[in-house]
Amino acid sequence: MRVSPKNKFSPKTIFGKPSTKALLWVLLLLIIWELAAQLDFVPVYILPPFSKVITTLWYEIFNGNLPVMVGRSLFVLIEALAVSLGISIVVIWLCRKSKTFNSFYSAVSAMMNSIPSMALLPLIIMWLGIGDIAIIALVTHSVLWTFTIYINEGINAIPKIYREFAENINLSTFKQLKDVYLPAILPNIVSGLKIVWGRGWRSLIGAEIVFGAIGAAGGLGYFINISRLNGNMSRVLAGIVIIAIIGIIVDYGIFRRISVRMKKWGMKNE
Amino acid sequence: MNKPIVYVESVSKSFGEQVIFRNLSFSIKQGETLAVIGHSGCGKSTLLRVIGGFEKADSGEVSVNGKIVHQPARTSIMIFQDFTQLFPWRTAISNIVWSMLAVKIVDSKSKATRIAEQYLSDMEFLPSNYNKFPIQLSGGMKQRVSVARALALKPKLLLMDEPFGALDNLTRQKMQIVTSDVCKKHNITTILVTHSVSEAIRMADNILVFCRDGKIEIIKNDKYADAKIEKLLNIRH
Ligand SMILES: Nc1ncnc2c1ncn2[C@@H]1O[C@H](COP(=O)(O)OP(=O)(O)OP(=O)(O)O)[C@@H](O)[C@H]1O
Ligand SMILES: [Mg+2]
Repeated sequence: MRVSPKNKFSPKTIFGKPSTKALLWVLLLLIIWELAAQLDFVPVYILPPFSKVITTLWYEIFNGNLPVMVGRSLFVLIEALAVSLGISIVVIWLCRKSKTFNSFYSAVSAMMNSIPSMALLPLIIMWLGIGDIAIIALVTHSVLWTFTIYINEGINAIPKIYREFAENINLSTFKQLKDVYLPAILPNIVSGLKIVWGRGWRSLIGAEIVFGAIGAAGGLGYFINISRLNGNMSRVLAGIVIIAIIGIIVDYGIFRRISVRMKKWGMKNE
Repeated sequence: MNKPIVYVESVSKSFGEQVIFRNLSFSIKQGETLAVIGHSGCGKSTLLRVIGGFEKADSGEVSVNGKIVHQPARTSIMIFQDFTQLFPWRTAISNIVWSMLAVKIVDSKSKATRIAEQYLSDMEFLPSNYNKFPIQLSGGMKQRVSVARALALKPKLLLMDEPFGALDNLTRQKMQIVTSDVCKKHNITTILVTHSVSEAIRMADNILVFCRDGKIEIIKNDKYADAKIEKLLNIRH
């Protein structure tokens, strides 16, 4: 009965053909990198061989250095995401309550969304110093506006019929939110988070590098920067590699899994 | 003799310039079925939505079970003319079970599941489909789940907007019988929008016809009903 050739692979697409191909390309690049360094095409202090970077990575993981730095970065990022989520809930609630606030917030978020967080960095340092609060503020800025725009769009796109059925059975406001609105906007929450997490992660690393340069300590960005100051190129690259690895883990391990589940419901998630 | 449970009193509704109905009045006795029939776009769904409280009338009043209708309420459950009324994130059976628990009509999940399974099997809905998500079901299957869900919620008034539209004749007749039986058993009053004259005649006590000329007539379902409906539907000026 099942003849569609597409179907044959679809459940395994993640580990099936497309990503195998991607993996091969990455492998090819790594081989070129390794060869270029080993054959002395580039000096070691500019580009150490990949194998050396891996050894360093291994070493830094097992001496506990890197896990502490990564843990700290992730912790700050999660703090910032939580703050953003909290503010989003309040803001969206206000937007739904008041048309005036909604138009005010639309204007502000459109404007703020176009300012890169690095452009706000000097301002934030002057206002908040160089501590965690400043980093959280910075990451929140890179996250909040886009996120609320996504959620708002999601709420606007909830089919009227879901709301009408909820009203029909006299569902309490809380249950409407929990059992109807939340699952209905889940695709938007996920695609919003997916974009926002990448942005937040980037501005976090950026801020840590800058803050590290002017005296604050901690985080992956700091690790990379301090390694540069020490002239330890393989540690710099190890830091960069770990950033890529974390990106892939979050994307494949979390977001793709949720997407697969939502596909099962037939709900869009781009 | 049963007393009326639904009163529609000089209700008018227009969309801008377009008058859908004007000064419409009728009542439905408890436990009876009113079929609503008319050409596509004449206002059948609009009438149902006004009675259900989903749409505000321009003037006039609707009351159900002694209460004036201002907004949707649990006493009148609507089956919308739409295949997408089930929540896509819940399976067929979980859509029903969740609704029953949400309105607290039963106190335990296992009880709700048993009742839901009963209704679904009455509607010839195969057990192998119970745990499928709406996206995996056909239009007719979704409609049957919607009907089962509405019946399981035990409303006083059941508003059905072409619930059997997507079904083959055999399934359709089976569904009509099951729905009638459940409504009789629980004394549920029904308004059934349909475009099938034979369905109206099979299910209804009275039939409301949106005539070709814009008038609305209510006729008794007697042996002349068939011919009368055909005539009313086709009057032209
Ligand atoms: N929200 C609305 N705004 C404006 N016009 C509307 C609205 N809803 C319905 N109408 C118009 O009212 C008329 C009646 O619509 P309605 O959906 O009640 O028809 P119907 O009898 O249910 O048709 P069908 O058999 O095709 O379902 C149509 O001409 C439609 O264009
Ligand atoms: Mg209609």
